[in-house]
Amino acid sequence: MLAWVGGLAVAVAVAHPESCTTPTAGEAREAAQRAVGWIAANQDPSGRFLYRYDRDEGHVVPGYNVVRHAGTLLALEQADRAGLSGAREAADRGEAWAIDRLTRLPGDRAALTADTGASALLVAALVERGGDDHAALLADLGRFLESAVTDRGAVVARWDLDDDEPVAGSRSPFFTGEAMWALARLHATFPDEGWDVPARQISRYLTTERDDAERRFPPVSDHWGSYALDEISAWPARLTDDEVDYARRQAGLLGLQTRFESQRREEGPVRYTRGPNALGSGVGTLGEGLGALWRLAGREPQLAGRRDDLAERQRCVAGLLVARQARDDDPRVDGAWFRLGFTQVDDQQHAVSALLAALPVLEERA
Amino acid sequence: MSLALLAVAAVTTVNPFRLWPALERRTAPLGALLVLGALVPLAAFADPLLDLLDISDPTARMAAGMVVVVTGAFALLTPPPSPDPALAGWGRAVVPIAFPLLFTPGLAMLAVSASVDRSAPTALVALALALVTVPGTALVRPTGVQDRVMTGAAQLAAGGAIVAGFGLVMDGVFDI
Repeated sequence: MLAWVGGLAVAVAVAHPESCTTPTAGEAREAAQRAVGWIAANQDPSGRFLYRYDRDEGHVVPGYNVVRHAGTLLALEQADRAGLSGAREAADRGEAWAIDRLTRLPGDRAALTADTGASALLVAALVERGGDDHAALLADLGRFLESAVTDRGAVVARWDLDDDEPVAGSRSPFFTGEAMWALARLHATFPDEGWDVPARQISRYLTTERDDAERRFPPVSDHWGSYALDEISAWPARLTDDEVDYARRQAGLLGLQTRFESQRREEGPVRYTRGPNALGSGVGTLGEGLGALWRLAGREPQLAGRRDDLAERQRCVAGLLVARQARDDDPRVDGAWFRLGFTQVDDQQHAVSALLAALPVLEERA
Repeated sequence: MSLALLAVAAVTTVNPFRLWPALERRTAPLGALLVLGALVPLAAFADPLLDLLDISDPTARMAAGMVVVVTGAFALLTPPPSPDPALAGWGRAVVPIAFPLLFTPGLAMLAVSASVDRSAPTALVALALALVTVPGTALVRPTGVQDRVMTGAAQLAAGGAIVAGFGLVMDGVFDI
């Protein structure tokens, strides 16, 4: 009997119930609209977003992050493409703010801050808007990103804009995938300009070397890399075995994290065994990565068998986001995702992208 | 969960070599059959059971793996079970052979997880093959040499259960 008590205790410790209610496509869309409303309602007339807000103290926490500004532009462009109201105007103001802050560099290059990820996400956003509007600017940003790719395919995370040189050894777990996706999107938009070469160079590094070279453990849960592989596949191009293996590993990582996240509860003993809910941005990135891999699995025969599993996890992420979104009369609260009393603009950014990515899956189910 | 991993996990979780001192040639087959019978509803209703508990297939596999790891560690670190207490006559097939020796949390978790991963018939065949080793082992007569062989095999199987359990955990970790 003691063995059964011990055995069941072990089983329960590992396998908590997973709370995965599936929202309707309408509910997911409404949640995304509400989050776009938060971004737009709290945007400064200059185009700058409300970055961080403390609900408990009722005040704006100082600080800003331009990479996240660019990421929010991407989410707004995705929202505009999906027909959500208010996204276009907010994106226009935010893009104007970003373009005003570009640094021009020799060789017809342009950078949005020293963090290369900011330029990459600005490219992703402007392509989402429709690349022809900013063709010259996109080429300038693309050339900057290309100059940040090392011979091995790694991406320099910080660029010394004064001396126009890379900050030696600087790497970021996310900028590599962001730069790869940006260059892949440039190739999709301007297929005769050779952007596929640096995109594939980064892809080879990302899928075969990056984790060993930069951070072996824990492996990077890389939604940006997933976006990029989906983009490359849609050029169209055949993925290498290494790229497919990487996509498969990412699917596992994102699936595991989704299952773990869905076991969390705000109250009760599970709060102590699983910890508090993750950031809205963290949950959102799971949905973004799963969404990209789900689309990729629709094109890549080697991943096709896992498409239903990816859809199931995506539905779960959408359900978590809908359930955890704040509803309030206060425009600084309504539509946001809070963790421990704080929200950051990237919580809304990633959640909007994830909810929109889930729409085809939710509509397919309906 | 691959068939090979399931087979290794099932045999090492049953670990007939460790149970050998408590086994009796006459009652061991019935004990094994009773346990297989107890596993049938678990395997048959694994899907609705996990749905009811809101537990996904990979998470159930991870839980089964951890229980198998603990089963292996327990077998490695504790002495073999005693033949007593036992019911009299054929009752011995029930206590101790079927319960508590064979019908363990590890085997029950394997039945559930393997059923949702492969299918209930596949899981039951694999578990039946593992349980067949019990009456087979009961046929071995106790001698000094065989005692030592069985002790060594029991420890090897316990180690195998730990490895197979971790294999199941990893299989669940890297699943979607």
